[in-house]
Amino acid sequence: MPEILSPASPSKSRATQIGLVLAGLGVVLLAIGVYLGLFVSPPDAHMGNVVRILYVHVPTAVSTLGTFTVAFVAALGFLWRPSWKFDGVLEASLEVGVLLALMTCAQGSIWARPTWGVWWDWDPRLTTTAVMLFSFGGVLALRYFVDDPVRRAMWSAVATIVAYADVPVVHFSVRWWSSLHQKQLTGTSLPGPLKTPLMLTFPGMLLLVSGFVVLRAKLAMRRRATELAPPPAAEPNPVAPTPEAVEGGR
Amino acid sequence: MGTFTGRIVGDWAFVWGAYGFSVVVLAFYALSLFFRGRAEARASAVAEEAHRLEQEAAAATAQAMTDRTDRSDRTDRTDRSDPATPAESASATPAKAEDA
Repeated sequence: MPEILSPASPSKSRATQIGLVLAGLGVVLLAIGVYLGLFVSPPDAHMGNVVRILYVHVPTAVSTLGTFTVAFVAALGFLWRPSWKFDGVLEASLEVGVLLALMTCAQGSIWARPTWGVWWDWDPRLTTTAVMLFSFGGVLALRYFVDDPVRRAMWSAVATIVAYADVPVVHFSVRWWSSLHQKQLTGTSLPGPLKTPLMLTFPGMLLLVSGFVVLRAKLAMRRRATELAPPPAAEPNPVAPTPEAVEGGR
Repeated sequence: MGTFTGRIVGDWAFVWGAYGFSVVVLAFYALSLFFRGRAEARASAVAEEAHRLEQEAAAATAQAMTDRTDRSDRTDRTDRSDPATPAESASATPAKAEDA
């Protein structure tokens, strides 16, 4: 059982500023990258214009894995040295990661329809990604079902570590098994004109997601501070006379 | 019978679908963060205000109890006509008069 933690400071406007700056930079880079990807970059010889989905799908997929890695590190951190900061980051990265995993699956599905002819296939990459989505979705659901903040933090940290076992499998699935899904992109996989938009949308998505995590973590910590604040009536009042003094005075 | 070029056609709908879905999801999440943050700030401000009022009320009650205890103490001593010190006796007299 970890030591009972002190509630985080409810007002940290600096975190909000950092989150907003990160998200703002991310939106700017994404906007430029999306413009180049949609209107400037040439279509692919085989995939035609569908290749443009790459500029949003790959950054989303990588950000998903990155966000879950942050959740994993926060979970380890919480178990190693309990702190509400770790729990706040864990909650934030879980929520943002699940959202991104959902987006990755939807974008991939839209891309799969014209290229593979199906919306979904039980290909190793897709299956392990779906397992990852539902595993972390389950951890997030667990957090909403547990009322006690300390138990919630402990249990979700352990569950996150268990769920994270699937993340390396997702990453290496295209190398380990003969998969319908293409292998990861490398520096030489794409020709220059196709690479330029990705060079912008990739850091853009990472910055936007980082901003989301920072803002969501701040929200989580503020909630925790409210949740852990002792009820006013139960708080000992330093001015109030002791029962003995009251008795003695009678 | 059309010729097969091996190249996917009619593909812009999928592109717009993927981009549109992503933008909508991200925008909704950003909005949800904004509204949740605002609601949480309001809730914590209300909680802090309630906490402050509660503390003020508790302090006032404690002060009232202390005053009452002191006063009854002084009244007891004056009734017994056995002041511990002349100073106490002097300070007890107005209290007694006030009580009367």
